[in-house]
Amino acid sequence: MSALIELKNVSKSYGDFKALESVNLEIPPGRIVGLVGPNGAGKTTLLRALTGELDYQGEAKVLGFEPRTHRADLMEKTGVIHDIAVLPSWMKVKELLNFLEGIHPGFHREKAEHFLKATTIPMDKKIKTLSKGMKTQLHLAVTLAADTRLLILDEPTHGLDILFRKQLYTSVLEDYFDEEKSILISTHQIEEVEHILSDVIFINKGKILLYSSLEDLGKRFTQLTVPADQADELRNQLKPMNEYGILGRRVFLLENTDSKALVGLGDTQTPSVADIFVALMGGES
Amino acid sequence: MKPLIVLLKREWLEWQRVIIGTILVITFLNLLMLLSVSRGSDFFHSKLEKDGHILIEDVQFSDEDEEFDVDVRMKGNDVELSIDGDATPRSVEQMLRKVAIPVAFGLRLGMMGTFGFILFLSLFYFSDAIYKERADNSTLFYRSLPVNDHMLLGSKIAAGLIGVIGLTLFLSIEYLAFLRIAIWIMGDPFTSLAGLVLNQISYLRLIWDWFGYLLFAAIHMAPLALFLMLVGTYVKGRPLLVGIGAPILLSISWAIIFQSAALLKTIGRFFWGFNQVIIDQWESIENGLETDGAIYGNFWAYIFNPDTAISVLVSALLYYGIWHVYRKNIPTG
Repeated sequence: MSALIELKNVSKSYGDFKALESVNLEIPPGRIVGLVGPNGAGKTTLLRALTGELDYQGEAKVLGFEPRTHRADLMEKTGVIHDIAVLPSWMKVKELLNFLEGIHPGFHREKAEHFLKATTIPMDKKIKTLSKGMKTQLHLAVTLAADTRLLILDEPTHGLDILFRKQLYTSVLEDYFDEEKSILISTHQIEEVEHILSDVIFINKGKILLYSSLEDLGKRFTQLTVPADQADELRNQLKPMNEYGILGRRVFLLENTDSKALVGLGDTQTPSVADIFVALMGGES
Repeated sequence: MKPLIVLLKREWLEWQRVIIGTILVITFLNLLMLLSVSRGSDFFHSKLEKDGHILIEDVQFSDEDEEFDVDVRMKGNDVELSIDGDATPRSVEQMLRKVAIPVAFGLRLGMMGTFGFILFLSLFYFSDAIYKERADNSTLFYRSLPVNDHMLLGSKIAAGLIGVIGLTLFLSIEYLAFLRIAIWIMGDPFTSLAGLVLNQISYLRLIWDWFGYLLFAAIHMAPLALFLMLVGTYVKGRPLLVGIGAPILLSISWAIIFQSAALLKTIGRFFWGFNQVIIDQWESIENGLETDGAIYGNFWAYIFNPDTAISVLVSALLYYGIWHVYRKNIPTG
């Protein structure tokens, strides 16, 4: 099946500052991709380029559309949730549903009302009177109620408490995702989404450092925990990408190491995405 | 077409309080007018009872062929026309028309006042149209919908245009209706006298004439409206203050630095244009009373002139600027 997102040498500069540098990506349908990077890495710039909100150099195709010139067509099949509250604050909740019903051909009002029934959001209140969590819930409800093929979430849990965060990702998985659709989630809190991702993209300073499925990551990276007194010897032998100490033991992160060769040296584990991210960023920063 | 209607409805929802508030304020002023008229009516009726008559109009009419003097006075429940001179029926008709012109023009001035007020309000609308979206970050929401930028921006401009013309026409028609009620409250003989004049005026024609004028004025003022919108796409705060203040400051600086008021005069002359046509029409009406159209003026002709063409051209350039900056979605904070 053809890719939902295809980027070839996409770059974006603000004066001398390169926000994106020759980004190449190909994301097929049926994937949940985490876009991970520190603050200022270029995550939001990349997402805004994908949704046609920014000019860029290079070639981009999202759902077969060039985002900048066919933004309206693209948005018919793409849902976007931003890191800040963007719903018109003066509208009432029911007015928002009426508005979307009229303007979005793929919007299903009953679906949105069904999602909202599970919340405490009042239909006749103005959006500006809702709490931050409610605004995100409302935005999520109306976004998931539209018939789209791609969902782009830009730091969707920013500023939300743990309950709302859990609910948000549960809703996305249960009410939206299937093998025809893809989800691109930007975050710098990788632990929060790691369990739902199928792929991960590491980005820093506008460059893609890594794009891999989680399955391949598990094969490529290994975490080895060794006694502190053997650390120096093993460090010279294994050349770990990164290491840290925990309860008097040393933890090595190893890349492309044969797991058979590690037998008897210590405890081996699949490292978390966060550990791999820290290791890779350490080399970049 | 449906998205445009939905977007126009969105503008209505956002601005309905201002529109309804304006209608209520103007209606309140009209009601005050009725109260004053009612009190004035009592005064005139007591004067009529005391003096037996009231002189309403003393018209001297003269041209190469004839010269006469007409007094219009109220006597009892009747209106009395006394003609002193050699007047032909055609002249009497013209004389009545001459009395009707100021009334028709007075009605238009009422509409002008309303238009001026609505124009003032529309400055707030146009300066806030995009700025408010930027301030609450909803530009990002609207641009995540399957609607192109031209539709989003066009709906705002169209809503402003429809709002200014529609609200002015509505309030002007309301003013006309209140005027008729006021005349009815005055009672005879005032009602009969007013009828002599008002029966010559076709309300439909008058409203059509107003509509033509409003369309002309809207096109003429479009550069100002779009300039304010453009300012609203990039300033960090107070778009109206910046939009109005910056050109004035620039013009004054220009005048001081280059010792020339050319810029001030050019801007003034251009924006005075929508008012100048009223003055031109007033003069043409005073000088020639031969046709029916003279009572109402002919504003449709003004729509096709060089000034309007310049307005359209400048507006197109400003629109391009708005579109270009709008896509950048510059944050306010």
